[in-house]
Amino acid sequence: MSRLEGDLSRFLILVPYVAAHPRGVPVRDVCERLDVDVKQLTRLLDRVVCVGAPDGTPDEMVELYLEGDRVHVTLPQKFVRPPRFSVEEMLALLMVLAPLRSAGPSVQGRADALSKRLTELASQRAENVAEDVASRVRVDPRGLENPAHLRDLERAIEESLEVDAEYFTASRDSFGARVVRPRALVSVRGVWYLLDDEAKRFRVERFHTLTVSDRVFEPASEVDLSLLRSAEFFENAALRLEARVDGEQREIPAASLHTTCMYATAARGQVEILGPADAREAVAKHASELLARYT
Amino acid sequence: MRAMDRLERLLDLVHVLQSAREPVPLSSLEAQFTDYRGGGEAVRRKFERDKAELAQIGLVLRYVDDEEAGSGYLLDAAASYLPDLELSDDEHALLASAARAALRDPAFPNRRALRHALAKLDADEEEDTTVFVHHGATLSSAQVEYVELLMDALTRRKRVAIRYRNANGVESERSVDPYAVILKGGEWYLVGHDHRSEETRTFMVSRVKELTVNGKAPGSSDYEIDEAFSASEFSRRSPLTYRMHDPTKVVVDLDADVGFLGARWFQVEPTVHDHVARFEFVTTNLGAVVDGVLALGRRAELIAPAEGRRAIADALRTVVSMHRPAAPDPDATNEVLA
Repeated sequence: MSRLEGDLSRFLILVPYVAAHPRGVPVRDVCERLDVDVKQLTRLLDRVVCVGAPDGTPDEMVELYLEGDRVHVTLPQKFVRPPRFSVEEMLALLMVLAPLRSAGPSVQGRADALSKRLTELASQRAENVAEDVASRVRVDPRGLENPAHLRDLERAIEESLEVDAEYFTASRDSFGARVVRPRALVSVRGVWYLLDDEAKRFRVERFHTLTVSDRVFEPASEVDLSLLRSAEFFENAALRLEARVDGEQREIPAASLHTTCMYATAARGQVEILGPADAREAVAKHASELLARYT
Repeated sequence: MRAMDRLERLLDLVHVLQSAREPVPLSSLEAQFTDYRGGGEAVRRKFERDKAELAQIGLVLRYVDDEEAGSGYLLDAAASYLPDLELSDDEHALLASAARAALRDPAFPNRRALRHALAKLDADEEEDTTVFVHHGATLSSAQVEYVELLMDALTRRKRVAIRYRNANGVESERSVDPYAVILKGGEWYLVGHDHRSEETRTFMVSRVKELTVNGKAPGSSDYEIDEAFSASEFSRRSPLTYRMHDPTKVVVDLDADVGFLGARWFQVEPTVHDHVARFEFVTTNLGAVVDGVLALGRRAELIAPAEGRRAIADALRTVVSMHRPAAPDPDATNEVLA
């Protein structure tokens, strides 16, 4: 997007938005919505101070101004609705909804309907290319999960029912039967996870069998589901690894020594575990044992 | 009258055309706008450029020739502006959850466009309390930019040049006509016509080390997409069928406990004997099979082809040598002995 195009878009979004708030809008909110800093916003406001009929009177001009820490518009003229979605905006909206289109039937149905409605709001230009581009820039949410498992888990969460399952626990390299009290489903980078009533995570594709029982459980109040939205969701790990990834040193969370070994060997030399020492040793031992099979 | 800033001229033009009750002839615009004065082809071209600029952001100017209303230009408000959405609270909350999750993720491409889209929707609603999503993929900030550049190149049908490192660490320079950009299982893929192999090939964006879009003739297309190519069909395919090389037959043994994972991943049913599930299939992406086998550790073994076994052995040797404890310093030993 050129600077001119960006400024045009921002003005056309800004005026109707501020006009809908008679007491003005804090500069901070405006900057966040338009993805600009205060300096860029001020420069834009300076450039559009005379928008209106070129040969018109002051009351035919858009009156958009900064007063204190708020942006006001007293005369929006006919700039009362923002433009329809551009190709990039349409794509971005469809991309954010895409992971939810592989969820259980309740969320999936809503995400499908919303995607359809938003697509109808594309600009004429976007409409002309949206079908082509949207079909070629794809977010394919279908992972290796059994769709019936997602459906059953969604129901078990809604009705607080225990689930009898057979699950492969990668962090302990063990497989067996277990009873799960499901609380929430989380889509992480195209992969579905289940959070249980003890805040343990399960990767849905690793459920071999899954049966919803008729046993109702009382959800534990101490499980804070809002954490599922924050980066802390990824922080809940038993190990903190120092690693060199593609030549760059980083800290990486890991569930266990076993998952560390899996991660490092699957990275095929692109990742070096620097510490702790027992994790580094475990990787060397694990890779040596596997190597013996191939030599 | 002073010369106008182009931003101001375009916004004034929008204002004049959307406020007019009747079509506005070009002659009237010439009278109002100093920049359009002088008449002739130059003015017409300037007006057409302005019209095209407004079309870029979705505003539609129409020429109307009506016996009663007269002839001239109008802004088509219905085609240009968002109607009232009338989304339900549920729909707003779902969108808010999904969109804010994307904005929290630095690896989500087109974040600015998403912010603008949300600003247009005035989406301030509470998030859905049952929907949790983390977007994106494991990409560096440069690679996020590559995804955005690829989307732009695809929209404009512009060729891209990439420096690519394959699964075995071998780098090559490629010239690719993008056919599709696909996020699947947390990985972004570029699918396109690779001019080196003269075939449709797939590239993982996380393995792209440099990417440039052809900057020549920005207004014209460099290529057409092969009509036989279907992005939706392609995105449904298993990564094991992505064309990285000629077809090769693969045999993988899995511990029977995790055989169900193999059945989903390899999309074939195994034969099971002595608690071992054996999968036999053909792939054009041996690298992905190797990745899958390594990720299952001692519960999986690649039996064939020999080339895949060699790739695993080479990878494991690298991992072992990287993590082997450092050999004692001989000089230090001598000092102690002395």
